[in-house]
Amino acid sequence: MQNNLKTISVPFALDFDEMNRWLLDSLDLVASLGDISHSGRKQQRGPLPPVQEIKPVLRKLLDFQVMAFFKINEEDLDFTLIDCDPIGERTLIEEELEYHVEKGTFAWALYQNRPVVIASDVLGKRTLFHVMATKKRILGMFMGILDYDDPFIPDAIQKLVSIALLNCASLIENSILYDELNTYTNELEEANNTLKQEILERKLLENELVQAQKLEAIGQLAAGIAHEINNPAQFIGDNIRFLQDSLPKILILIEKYRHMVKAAKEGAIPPELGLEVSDYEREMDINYFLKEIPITITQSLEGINRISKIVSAMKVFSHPGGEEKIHTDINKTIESTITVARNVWKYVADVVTDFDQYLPLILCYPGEFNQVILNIIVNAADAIADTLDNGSGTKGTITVSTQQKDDWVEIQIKDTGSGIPETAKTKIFDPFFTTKEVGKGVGQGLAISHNIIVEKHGGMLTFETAMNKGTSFIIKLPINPETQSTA
Amino acid sequence: MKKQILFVDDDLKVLDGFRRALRTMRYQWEISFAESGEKALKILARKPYNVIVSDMHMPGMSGAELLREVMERYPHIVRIILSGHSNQDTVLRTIGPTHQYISKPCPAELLITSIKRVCTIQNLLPDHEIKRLVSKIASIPSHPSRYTEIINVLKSPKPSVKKVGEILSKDIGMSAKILQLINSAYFGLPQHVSGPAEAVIYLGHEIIKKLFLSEQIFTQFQPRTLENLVMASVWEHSLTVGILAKQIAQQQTRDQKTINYSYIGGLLHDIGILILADILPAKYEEVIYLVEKEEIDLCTAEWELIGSCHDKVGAFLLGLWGFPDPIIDAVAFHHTPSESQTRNANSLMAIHLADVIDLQASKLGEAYRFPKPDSTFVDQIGLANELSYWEEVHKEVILKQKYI
Repeated sequence: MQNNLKTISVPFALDFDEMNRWLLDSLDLVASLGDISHSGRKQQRGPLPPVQEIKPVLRKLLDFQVMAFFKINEEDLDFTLIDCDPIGERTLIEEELEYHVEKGTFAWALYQNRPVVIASDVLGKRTLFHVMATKKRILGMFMGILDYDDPFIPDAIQKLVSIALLNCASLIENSILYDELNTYTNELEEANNTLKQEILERKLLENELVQAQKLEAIGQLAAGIAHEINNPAQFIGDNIRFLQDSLPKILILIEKYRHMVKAAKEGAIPPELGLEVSDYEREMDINYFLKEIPITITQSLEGINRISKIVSAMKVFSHPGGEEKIHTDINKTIESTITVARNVWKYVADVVTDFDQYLPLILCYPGEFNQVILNIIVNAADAIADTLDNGSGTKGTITVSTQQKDDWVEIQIKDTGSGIPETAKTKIFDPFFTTKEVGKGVGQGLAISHNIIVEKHGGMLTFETAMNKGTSFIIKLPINPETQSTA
Repeated sequence: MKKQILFVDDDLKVLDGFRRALRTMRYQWEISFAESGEKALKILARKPYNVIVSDMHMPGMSGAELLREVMERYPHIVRIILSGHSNQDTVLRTIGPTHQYISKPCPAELLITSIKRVCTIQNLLPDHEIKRLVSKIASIPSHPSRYTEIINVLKSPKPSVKKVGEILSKDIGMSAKILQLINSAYFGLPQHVSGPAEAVIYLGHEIIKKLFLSEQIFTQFQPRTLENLVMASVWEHSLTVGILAKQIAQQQTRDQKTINYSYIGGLLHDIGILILADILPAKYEEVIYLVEKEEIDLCTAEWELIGSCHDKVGAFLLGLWGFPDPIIDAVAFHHTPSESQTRNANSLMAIHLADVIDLQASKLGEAYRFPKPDSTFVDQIGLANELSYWEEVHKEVILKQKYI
């Protein structure tokens, strides 16, 4: 089928077979354009690749001595030569272009959506112009110098040239769009990366904030924890000193008893020996020791227990936590936080716990979860202290309960404190919001708690409050964080 | 007569522990226990007590509130805080009503020693008004110019703690208060610092600022009070005695504690004069008038009009504040060293000698009719021959002070 399209220069002279074959060849050519557009997309971008691809097609249609492609510059509507074939005829093309621009034929051809063949006075040949345009816009101009001076180009060929150049224009348009898309995608990707970086930095900052708040909380606790340890240390020391002071007296008594046993073995206990023993018993006040020593030992052991309890609670509380959530016994971890914070609440409130003993283990970050519980307990104690300052006298109550509700574990921390005023209700989870006096907290506690429960655990943190009656904070944690999301 | 001691703690087991560990003292002390401030006040109303030892944090009335109440109602009772807390803010809030802070856990022996000491110092003063007045003192007024200097340093853009320490160590009242704070085991600092300047640095900028600017525990003498000879020269005299006593002690011993005590004791030896001028201003003006017009010395005049002398008054307050025994001893007997029961009293000797040497050479000596060293005491420790040597050293000290 090579070059056979243009051989039929006089279509009406064709017989049916020839006509039929020509038609099929034309259709083949049109179909082959689809291949170009297909391969064009994969290739290098810019207007040149489609131009290179279209040249052999055009050659099949007409014998061009020179083919030239111009690209329009959308800014100033100037045309630039982007391809000239053969390249050596570049000057010729430029002269020809200048001639037609001056004559106005170039401009005229631009608005004809068909091939325009114009005789050139310069060359004495004919030049074919065809705009390269999509429906949207003009992209450039094709200019071909025909090798022969036959003015007649069959309509069918003209149509095929139009189809080929329209296709070329579409490809160029595509490539432009593709470029734009690419730029846009790149920008998007860049923006995305920046955003990711920012999120990462924010996370780091948030973690630092959580750490800082934790340190602040621990700082508040440290003095209290020292007190909780120093008190038992005081009485354990005193008790042991008492035992130490008692021992010599008891040893003397034992010595006297031995004398008595020895005498008994030898036959009889002389009455004065018995009298000596009972005198000494009275003198040293044996009954006091018999009564006191067992209590001393019990109390000392209790003291040791108190110290161990707070030390092990501290261990649970200050769990450093890692990247991974771990299965946690929520009841136990809450219990230790209450113990660690004992000095915060014990002067103002009693803590009552009502734990659901059948709670499943929950996947969570225990260190951060403890921090939330601590924040809420400290707030509860402060709220109760406010009511005590107002002179209501007796201690308040902090009730901590846990229970399972469907796929959730609900933790409720209820106080009998002053309640949250209407004006503060909407702000309590805001960072840096605080009603406490300067130096008593930076107002990060609840904001961070909210973040820990909602963002990190996919849970919920809400509260109910009534002025002068108290506040309940309710934490809900999903039992299966992987499959559940915040309702 | 048995001493009456009251322990207050909301932890009943702590009270049980005291009861057992202090059982050995049952022939000297009668100990009562209360588990709250409110109950403590009820118990105190029943009979006179000598010492109260209270926990700090308790439900309801706190230890500080209790001691403040005790200070108002029963000023003669020695007020001690025994607390496991180490919160500096709380401490600062209680410096007023508290004589001593002791940290839990405190070994029973140390507790016994501390209580015994405050019981012993009770004998320094007669049981009347003056004892109650001194027991109520929270701080001793400062020399107004020193006080202003410190405030200026603290309010400057770049306050230097070192500078504050230097100025403060020239004031008797502020030095005593700072040393009381540093000595209280509460701050968890070394028991013995060589002097007030180091104590200021140890306490640090934040606390010093709080003490001066927000807590305002320091007061000042009215300039009018300082117009007479005694009051005008007591600060300079004290500083000289401190420096000279330190040098004497350095020659006598290598024990750093004794050397430090000689300096601190020398600086504070006349603190009783300031106390009396503060708590009994009108009476003390009479005392000074008597000294200036009549042919009697300061101590005699004080005895005559007040019923006690500044040496015992000063020692009594320092004793309440938990100063170490050698300093209390040296302050109490700096005029009459042979009356001291303490043997090998190097600090007392150094301070007595330094005091006499400075009085013989200064205007203030007039108020004492230019006393001589206690010959039996000085002979006893073999210092008599060296007197002229120390007089030379004294001249150097005076000279140096003038140039600083």
